[in-house]
Amino acid sequence: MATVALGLAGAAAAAWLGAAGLVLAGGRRPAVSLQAGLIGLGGLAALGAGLVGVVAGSSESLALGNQLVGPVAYRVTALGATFLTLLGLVALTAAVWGARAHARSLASSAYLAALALTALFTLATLCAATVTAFLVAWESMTLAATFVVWRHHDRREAAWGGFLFVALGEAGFVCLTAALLLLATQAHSLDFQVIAARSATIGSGWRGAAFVLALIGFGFKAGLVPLHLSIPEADPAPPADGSAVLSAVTAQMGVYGIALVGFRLLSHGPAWWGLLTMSLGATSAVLGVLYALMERDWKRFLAYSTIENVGIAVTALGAAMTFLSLGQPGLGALLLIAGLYHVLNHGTAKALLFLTAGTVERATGLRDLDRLGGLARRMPRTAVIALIGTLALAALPPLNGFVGEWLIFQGLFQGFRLSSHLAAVLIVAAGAVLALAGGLAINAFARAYGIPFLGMARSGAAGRASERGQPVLAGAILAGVCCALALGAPLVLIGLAAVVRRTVGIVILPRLLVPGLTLIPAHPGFSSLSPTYLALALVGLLGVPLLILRLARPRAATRTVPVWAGGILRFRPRMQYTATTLANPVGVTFEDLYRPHRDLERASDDPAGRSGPVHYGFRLLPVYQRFLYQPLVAAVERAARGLGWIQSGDVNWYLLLVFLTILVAYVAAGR
Amino acid sequence: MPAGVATLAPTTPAGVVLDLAAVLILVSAFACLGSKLFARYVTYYGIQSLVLAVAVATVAVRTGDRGLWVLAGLTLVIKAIAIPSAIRRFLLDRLRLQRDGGLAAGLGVSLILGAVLTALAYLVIGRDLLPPGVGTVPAIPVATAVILLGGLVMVVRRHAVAQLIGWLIIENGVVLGAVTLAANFPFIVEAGIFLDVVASVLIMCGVVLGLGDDAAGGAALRRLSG
Amino acid sequence: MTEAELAARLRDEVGRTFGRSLHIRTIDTGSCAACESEIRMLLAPHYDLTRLGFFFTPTPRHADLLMVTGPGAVGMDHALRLTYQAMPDPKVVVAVGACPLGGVLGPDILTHGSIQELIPVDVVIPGCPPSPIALLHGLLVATGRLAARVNPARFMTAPPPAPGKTA
Repeated sequence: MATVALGLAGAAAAAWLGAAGLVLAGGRRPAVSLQAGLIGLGGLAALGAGLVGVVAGSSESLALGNQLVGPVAYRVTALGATFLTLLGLVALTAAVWGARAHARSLASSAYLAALALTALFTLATLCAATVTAFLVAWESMTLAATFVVWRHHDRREAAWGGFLFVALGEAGFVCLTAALLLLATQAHSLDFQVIAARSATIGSGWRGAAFVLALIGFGFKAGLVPLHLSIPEADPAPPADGSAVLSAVTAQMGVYGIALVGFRLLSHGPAWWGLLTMSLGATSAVLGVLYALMERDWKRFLAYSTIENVGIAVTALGAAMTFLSLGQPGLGALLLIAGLYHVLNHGTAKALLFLTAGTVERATGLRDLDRLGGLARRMPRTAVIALIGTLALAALPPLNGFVGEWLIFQGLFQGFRLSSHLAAVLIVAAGAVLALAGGLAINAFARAYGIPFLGMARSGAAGRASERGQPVLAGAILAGVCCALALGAPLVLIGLAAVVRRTVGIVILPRLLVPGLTLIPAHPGFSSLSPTYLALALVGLLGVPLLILRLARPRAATRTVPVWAGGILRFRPRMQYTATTLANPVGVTFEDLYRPHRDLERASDDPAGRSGPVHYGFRLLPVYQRFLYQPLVAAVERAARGLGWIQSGDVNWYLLLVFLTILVAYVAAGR
Repeated sequence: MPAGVATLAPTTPAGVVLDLAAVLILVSAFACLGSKLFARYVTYYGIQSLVLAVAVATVAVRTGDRGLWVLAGLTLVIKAIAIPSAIRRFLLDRLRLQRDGGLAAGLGVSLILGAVLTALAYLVIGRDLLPPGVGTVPAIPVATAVILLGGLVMVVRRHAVAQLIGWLIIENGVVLGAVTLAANFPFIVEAGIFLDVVASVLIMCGVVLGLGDDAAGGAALRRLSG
Repeated sequence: MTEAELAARLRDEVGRTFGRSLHIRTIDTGSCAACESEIRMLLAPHYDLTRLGFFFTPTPRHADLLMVTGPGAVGMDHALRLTYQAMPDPKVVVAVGACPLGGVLGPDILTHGSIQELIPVDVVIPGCPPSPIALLHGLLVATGRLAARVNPARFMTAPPPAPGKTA
């Protein structure tokens, strides 16, 4: 059973390698559909590998190292298998979408090859069992994903996004290399299992330094504010399947890394690790959704929402670490389960929404929320699918997002059981911040669904959209998975409880899940929920008004008249709310945080505006960019200017510098 | 390995010839450093290469290595004869170069710096870089000093042709050091270095002829920044 | 009838049949606003229409009575028609003032002259402008008409109107 997982993972790797290799066979007739098919098959295999790994636990390790490269081994662990299921699902649906969506050109073929390589190296990262294998796979994943971002490299968005992605990826890579090598040298081994076993013997200063470095390094990839800059710039740039893979998988690999370091490699750390992680997560959650609300571009909005949801997952992981280090193993395990569940939910729903946005972009050519509208009538299936994804991400019952966030909140509410008052207060504060983020998320997603799909079309292109010939199946699959994750939440939690048991060794399943498909997460008598029955009851309750309408409808004749709109002659699309309008209350409330730049130009001071047009401009410079990145970049530029005198232009000066270097090398080597 | 070096100890005839050759090579490097006429650069380089060929032949006689005979022959033909005449014909006569006007430091200063570098080579460098048991061979510090002097020539001269000569002197120093430790260096390395030299001379000739005298002379070479 | 008696009868009528909640929607199809002032004065503390159970509402969806002033300007055709359609049944239309009856302006390219050809009018309150007592009297008649229109099978709590008042 254990080798089945490794075998399936190997099959997935082979399929993806094949898909990448097919770009070489391109030429006049690039085999784009075949590539997409191979990516889909690989996704299916990876999904299978993940499911087997979750159920059966760690597999055998495949050792490939030799003397030259050191120990290189691959193993499907329980934690890795959880993320592997997500990778497989997203790869499968992205391939289904891409098979319909991509034109048959060499550029598309190269792009699909890069996508396949990204999936391949993500698989390698998840299965890596030694430091060397992990680092090589991580870096390769970043580079392959950069090529995915650079699909439309002639556009400014893709060029800048790709640059930020690779630059911040490198910065993160440096930090996490330092962290892992620190651990490896202190534990005298490059194998993860050995490091995990010997982690208790490492000095607390080294452990703390390694943890913080790893948090920063993985935070760059995951998108913890203020390290998140690459996500809103890079994730929207490629076509929708690439965006889905980037947001749903690659960003969440950062969460995998934090879980790997916090729960496997460096388990039983002090409480401040968990509190630091939790604080970063909570800040990311609320800042992510605040900036998401101000976005007009649909895909950039979804990218900021990724930051928010990753923040929620990291908050759960941080709180789990805190509970584990302060003597509450049951609650810690619960929050770890909840965090992993949220990762799965978010990945599924985010991939769904990105693919839907991509379908709409193909149908209308637009990504601007303020130009879309009325798509629910013209693209009904897409609208239903997008509604399911929106409800899932906004954490509304009965879908999977609600169950996951409910579990997280139940865990956070138990903060009062901790002995340390500081930790208890911080955990409750984190819960409050997450609640704020949740409320803002509902506003954000109501806006992101209502503006494009409901109402009237705000532009000609939106009014002419049609669903014919657009990829819809991929979104439908993901919508089905969302519903399955909600209805089958008990099953999912059984699997995740097994993963947690194998990762941190805590058994909470008998207490968590009682007969009757009910979850009692925190404490008997505190709270309980049955997601399955809730879903069925909500659907059933929807039927009651319908039933009443059927049976008790008044028998008089009915009259159908147009919507009352003030008796105006014609209802124009420009009269509708725009996306900016729906976000304006939040924008005004949080103005001190946003500090937008507004400029207003009038032709004259006539208050009625009669003597010319009025120009109103609104620009938003995010707070972290103003206070962190810009000063940093300015300092680097100042230092570079200060050192500019070295580049004098005189060849003799350059020769002198080379000569002096050689001299110093001679003298130093001679000692 | 130690056997080949032991036969070159200063007491044997081969060792004496090698020491003399090393000293002559060092002197000719100083001569290059201390002159201002292009023709003299080339002459001193030619002398240096000739003496180097003799040194290589001496080592070849002692060790019987066929590769070293080939190397000695190549050094004689190419470095002592072909390269100097090529430089004379294509660069000095075509561009009518006589006095080198572009010196970054005066001749006196250059010579003092050369002496300092030689002392450095003897005192600081080399002891620990050599394989054990070779510390008594005096040719090694000389080779290092020649390399450093060639580097100094490149640094204080502004004209491209002078810098080329400096680089060729560095090559000579490297070859001298290599053949002293003859058994340690496979022939392929020597051949590689040779190809390097030939290719670089050809390239430099082409570049300098293309640039013309005033450009090669230094004004453009002072504005090489991006 | 004195003003106090009128008010008492209105209160009884509206209270008995409509539970003290009748909503009025006014629409101005080009009047000189004298009738509007008189209607507005009904809300002032002296007459205080709300104590009798009448409320003004801006949306015709919640309205039971439609009070129309003005001679039916052509520009307000569409609005008048939409307002009338948007009101759910049962409803009653009250024409206030001389304008909607064709008594002030004749039909030309800018106005229809009277609104009687646009929407069916149930109660007229003549005057230019009509006094508040006339308005109250007209509201009493309108309330009676509306009560007659209410289907007894649907209104379970109110007694059916007295015979002879059926429209």
